[in-house]
Amino acid sequence: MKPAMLVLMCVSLVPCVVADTANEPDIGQITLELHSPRVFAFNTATVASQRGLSGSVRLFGIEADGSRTLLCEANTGWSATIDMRFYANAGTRALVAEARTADGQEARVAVRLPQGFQRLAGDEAAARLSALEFPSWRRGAGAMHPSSLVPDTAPDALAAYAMSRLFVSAKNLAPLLVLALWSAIVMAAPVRRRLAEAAKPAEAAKLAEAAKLAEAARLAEAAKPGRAAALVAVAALSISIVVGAMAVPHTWLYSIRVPSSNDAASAPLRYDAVTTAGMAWNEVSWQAGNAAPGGLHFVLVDAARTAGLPLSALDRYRRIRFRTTPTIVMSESGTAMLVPVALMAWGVE
Amino acid sequence: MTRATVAGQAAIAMPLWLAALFFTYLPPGTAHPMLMALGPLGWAAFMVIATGSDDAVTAYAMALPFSAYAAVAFAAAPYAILAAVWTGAAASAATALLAGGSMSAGAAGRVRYAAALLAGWVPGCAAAMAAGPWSGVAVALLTVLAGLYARARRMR
Repeated sequence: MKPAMLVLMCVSLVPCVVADTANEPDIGQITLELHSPRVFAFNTATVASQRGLSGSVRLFGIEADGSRTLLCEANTGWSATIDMRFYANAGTRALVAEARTADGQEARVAVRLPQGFQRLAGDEAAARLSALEFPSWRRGAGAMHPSSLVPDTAPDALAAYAMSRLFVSAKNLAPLLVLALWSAIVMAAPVRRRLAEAAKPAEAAKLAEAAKLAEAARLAEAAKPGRAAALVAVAALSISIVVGAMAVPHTWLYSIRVPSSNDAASAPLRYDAVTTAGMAWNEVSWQAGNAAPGGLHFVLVDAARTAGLPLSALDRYRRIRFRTTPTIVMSESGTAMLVPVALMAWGVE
Repeated sequence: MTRATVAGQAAIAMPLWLAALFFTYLPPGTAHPMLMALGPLGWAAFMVIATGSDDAVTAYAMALPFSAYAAVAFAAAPYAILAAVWTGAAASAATALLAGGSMSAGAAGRVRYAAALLAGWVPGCAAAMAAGPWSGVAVALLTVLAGLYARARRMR
């Protein structure tokens, strides 16, 4: 090989290597260990330092074009090692961990993903997931019907139908009803006050006649505007707390199974919604009556403005491919949560 | 100086309720949570000052649950803390008004009223943004106590 050609090859390889490690040299004394990462799956990486880790520990994925994506974030008071969960898509080339050691030094380490990590050939589930398309984000409105006749059960058509008709975002109107009731009560207050004022002289005369001076004094005290206003303020605070508690958004996990060739099902196919309410999230699973469990699912995580979705909610998916790479937040107790956003995914049980 | 009427209370409540309904059906993230939480209380303050109503407490009482709803329904988690901040700040404003007594006639009275409102409201919110939500609630409560103390001294 000619020297000029060799130089040209080396120069052309440089951007790939730079992109793989984010063009950032390792600094400080931390290590990043990967535990057999798999594409389209949640994996675990261990960040460790002999000096100890303190504060925020962040794990980034480096794509082929050198762009960074925050995969996982954890906070610790002091810890020698932290297990961080991360989702790996087919475009991830390397991981970068950034942390601060317990003595306050910034530290960073980059690790390239193993050879063959991105190779989908021979991995049937991953290859199938990578070929699927995602529908648009447009979602249906109105009330969710418990049963629906799906006209086309091809994966792409089924996903589009699910987004527009089945994964309906339920509106919580209960707080608005309470607010309407509260408004009506407060609006009626001037009428009630006028009625009370009209009745007061007669009542006071009656009390004076009966010489119930103590009772009259008590009534006079109760009629002071400050006390009435305080009562109104307490009522308003109570209603505020009730309305606030009712308006808390819930995390919803929607899924629908794509019928396989073994199901002997033909479109149109009737699906029924199975709703499960939990403490951390609610789930709506659309199932066809004669379908066997497992197989390919289209999934929607609706966790916007909530505390997020525990990763354990997606444990049943052996492989899962998200439309956008999700960020995971690790709690002090080691619980992994998906950040509170809406996510679309294809999953294989 | 006017007293609260059914029409006056409806003028405060109906726009708030319609706005709450409207924003509930907008896509998530469209409504700015801070503006949504401040809006109802600001609307109540505007209506009280504009109409010269003496019954400011009822106007705030009307608006406060709407603010709490907006803080929880449109803000990102942890919404409970945000709701606590706004609720504490609003309670401070309402109680500061109580401590200041009713509005006297004329423009000077309205200015004094607006000043009392800001005195109860702004410090709690500013502290919440600068030093965290619980600091905001603490400052709001201190403002309430200061207002009550001032009122007690005046009544001696």
